[in-house]
Amino acid sequence: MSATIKDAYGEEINPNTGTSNKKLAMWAFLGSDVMFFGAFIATYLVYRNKSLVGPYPNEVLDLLLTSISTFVLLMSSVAMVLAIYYLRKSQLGWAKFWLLAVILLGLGFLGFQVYEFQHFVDVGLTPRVNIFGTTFFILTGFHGAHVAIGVIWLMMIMVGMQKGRIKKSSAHTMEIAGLYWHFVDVVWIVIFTLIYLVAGGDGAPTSIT
Amino acid sequence: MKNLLKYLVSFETRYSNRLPENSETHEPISAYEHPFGTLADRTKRWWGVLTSSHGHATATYYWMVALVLAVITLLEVWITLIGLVPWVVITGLIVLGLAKFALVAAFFMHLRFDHRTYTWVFVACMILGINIFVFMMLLIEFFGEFQ
Repeated sequence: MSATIKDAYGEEINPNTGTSNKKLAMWAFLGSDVMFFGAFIATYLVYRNKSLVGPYPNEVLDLLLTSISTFVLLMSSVAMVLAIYYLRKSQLGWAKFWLLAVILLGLGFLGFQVYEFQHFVDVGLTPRVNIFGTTFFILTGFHGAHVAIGVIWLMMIMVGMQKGRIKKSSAHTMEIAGLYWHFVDVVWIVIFTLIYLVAGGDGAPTSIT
Repeated sequence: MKNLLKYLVSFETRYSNRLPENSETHEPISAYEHPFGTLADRTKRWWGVLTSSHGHATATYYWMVALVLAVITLLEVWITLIGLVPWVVITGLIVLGLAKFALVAAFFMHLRFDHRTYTWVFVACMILGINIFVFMMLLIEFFGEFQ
């Protein structure tokens, strides 16, 4: 087993492969998460238009609200790359500022989701009411859980930066967290496109109207 | 930013009416004697400068990508609301969604700048994920019984 080479940002490169083992592991994990979400999205689409009772997607989904929350998550991705960029340049003040922005935007996105779920329950849509409710809550709920885990991870990094444990020489740690955060954003891009835009107008199946 | 713009347009400004010359003979290079001139080379160079920046993108560059992502999101909502034919809307949304996916993966997740192995690992898993998706849809469509 050969020794790894550490670069200025704490990235340990394996000389045999030219890659960082930690980063490769994270990409493999993200790849497995693609399959995880792929199964849930496929399930949602398979049971699309199959609910026998309402509420139906066109009665409850709010495109404007979700467009805003999508924008919030996209902006959090920008803040994330900027946080890493400034940490790599040793500008800790800016790095902390943008990391705080990511955390707040992530919490904002979760706030939108909690509001949306609460609204759905108020109008009678729960996971047990119909197949739309079951597949929708499972898919978006698991995505929300990913966001929540990301926010907690970033908070831990923020504490590490405050205590001086995370700096330019360990920027790689934040880069790994950044990969996870961007992936959560990418998954939402797919969910927003398929569930809210493509299938958002679904109503009652024609056989029961 | 100013230097970047200067660099990008300098070739065109200096040589707008001339074909690139062989550095030794000072003869025009015949390979460029076509209607597009040096367009392909310049496009390649623009792409290289804009996307690579010697391995590290700048903060301005990240903002440019963010602006494109925001515009694509607005476009998606717009084409959903203007009442086009369904297949046009669905095709448009899938293309725009893929564009956003690619932009985030390439630039925010650094696949464009990083070792190719990461890209291959992710692409391989994407193919498996898409297979799961497609086979699930096909199984339910042809063999599944609802209710």
